[in-house]
Amino acid sequence: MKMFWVLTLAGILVAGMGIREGAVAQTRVPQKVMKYLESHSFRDLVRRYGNTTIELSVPSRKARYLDSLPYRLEAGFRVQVVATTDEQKARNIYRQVKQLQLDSTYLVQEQGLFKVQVGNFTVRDSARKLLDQLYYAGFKDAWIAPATIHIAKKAKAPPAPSDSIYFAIQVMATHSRSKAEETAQTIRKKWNLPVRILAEGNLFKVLAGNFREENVARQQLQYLREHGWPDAWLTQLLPN
Amino acid sequence: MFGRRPVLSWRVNFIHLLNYWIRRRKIGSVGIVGLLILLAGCAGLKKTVQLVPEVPSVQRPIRVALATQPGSHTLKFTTPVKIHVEEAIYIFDASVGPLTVQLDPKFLELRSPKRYLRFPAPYHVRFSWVMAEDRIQWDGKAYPGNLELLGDETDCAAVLQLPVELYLQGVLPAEMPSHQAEYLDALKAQAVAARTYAYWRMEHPRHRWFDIFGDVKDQVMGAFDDQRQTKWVQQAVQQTAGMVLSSGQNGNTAVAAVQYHSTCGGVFEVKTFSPADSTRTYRDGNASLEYCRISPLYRWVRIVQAEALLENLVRSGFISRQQARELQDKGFTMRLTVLQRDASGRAEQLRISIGKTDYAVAGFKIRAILGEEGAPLPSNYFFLLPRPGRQNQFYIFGAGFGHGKGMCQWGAIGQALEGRNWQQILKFYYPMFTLTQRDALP
Repeated sequence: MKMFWVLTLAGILVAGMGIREGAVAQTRVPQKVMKYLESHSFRDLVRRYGNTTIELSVPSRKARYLDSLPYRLEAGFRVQVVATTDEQKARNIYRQVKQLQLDSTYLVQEQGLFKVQVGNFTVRDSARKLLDQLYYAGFKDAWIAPATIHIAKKAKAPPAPSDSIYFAIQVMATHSRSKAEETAQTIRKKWNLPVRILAEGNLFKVLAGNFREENVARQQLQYLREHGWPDAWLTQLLPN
Repeated sequence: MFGRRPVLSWRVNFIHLLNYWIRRRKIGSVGIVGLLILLAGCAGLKKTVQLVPEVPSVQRPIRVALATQPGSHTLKFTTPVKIHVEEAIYIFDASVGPLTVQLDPKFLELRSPKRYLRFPAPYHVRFSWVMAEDRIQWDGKAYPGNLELLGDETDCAAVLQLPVELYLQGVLPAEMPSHQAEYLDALKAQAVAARTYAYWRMEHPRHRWFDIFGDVKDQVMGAFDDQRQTKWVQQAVQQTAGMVLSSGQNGNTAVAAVQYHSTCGGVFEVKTFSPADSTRTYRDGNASLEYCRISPLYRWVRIVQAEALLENLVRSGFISRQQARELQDKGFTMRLTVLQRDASGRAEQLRISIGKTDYAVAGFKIRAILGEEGAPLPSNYFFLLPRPGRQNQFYIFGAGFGHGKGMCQWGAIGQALEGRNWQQILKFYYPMFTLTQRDALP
């Protein structure tokens, strides 16, 4: 039962929008959470969860580094063009190989040797085509060597569209408040659109419309562009 | 017209007189030898400087510390001031320009585009007004009263002396919102609480040079030219003039040791802490008592990262920088448990385990460790929950702001908004203290 409440409360938080992360972040507390906290006696909550033990784990610096990379490391094969102790020579060859515009060209330093490697292959035979390509390009001494290769991580799914985001058409941005107000007035009268002025520093942005759906906003944008506002563009906004 | 020549003190005049006697042969060689013997005898005496005269009366002005750490400050005045030092009195007017004050235990520097004065420790520099009293501008904030700059090799301080009632006019708007007529009774309650604390501090001074800090260490004193200075502030101070809370009975009464805080979050300590009496009782449990719902920190949520916590542990001296670096390199596990809470539910002891080592954190340090540098957690009244999907983060759900002892300022405002008067508010938060005139107390 206790665990149920822990998960419920944490679930509300995760579902809640607007929590800003940081070293120690002060959150913009979602309304749902505030309501939950205010509708319950805080003393009861402290009695219920006050003895909860928090267990945290932080991986090693290396693990964090690898986690931050867009690829993972695995054993595989690469076409190695050269392996030499002469760094300058390796750099020159690396530059020449780069000009061939092949995917994934690397200059790696291992055990005192500078190696120019191309490609990431999990199976040796897959590298043969690239080896031939390099042979005909003039790198006749290239060979297939076992190496640690980069495998792209699965791309993260784009964030689910949130119903709290809306679209508006930015008609203009100006340093003159009076000019912004005049424009806003014109648009209100002419096209009967809700218009507001967003002040950012000393810049005043005139934002027209309040569209939940992007395609509707694009239609309106097209219309405005054709009727006197060729520089208008679409912008995404979070509610205040 | 002012500010060029100092008014010379008796010591300088005495040297001129001696010179005159010798040249005009008014004094013979025997007289000179006699004088030299006298001076040699005096040289053996240790130089002592009475920095601040002891004033036993409770009616003396309160001494408020504006600065107690070495540093640079700006000082401005618009009407002429006298600067009293040991040897002379200097008169500066506004044409001297703003002074840069370099405060240090070992020396004091007063620098302006036109003048430069340097005093080695021990120094005691006092500012007073030549004509009508005015306000000084210390670090851009206007204050009435007389300023003193003191230093004695180990300590230094900038101290403002001003009457208690005037001091309260600076405290009130800095401690409580003061822009609405509806808050008047809360302001009056705050005035009595702040006055009581000020008099108690005058009887138990923080330092031999000053009674009270002008910041959050005691009571915040804001600028007197602040826009928060409203007519409600003046009314609150004037209509409660001289009123304090007293403790004890049967002729053994004294100024009570009261405390107050921003937001209790629903539970507060009724009997304020006193070293002589450590019993505590709490008021809570009834939602109708939660008058501080209007406070912005009635309930709050924070997300904390393990790495930030580690950094705070380094800053607070629990672990070394080297240890922290090794933990970051190798990775670590951390466990947090609140071991002990007081009767109100506020955390008193927190155990942080890193690997196999336990660290016990107690009292205010809990707020410092779980907060940010310079911005500790609002209060100890919180509970912790894990953050799903994030192994290195957790939530802190909290209530209130401050230590939770005595009057809850937002609660007082809440009560004022519900139509309770200042006597009722004070009775609610300080039920065992009596409202009395300061003059009636010994």
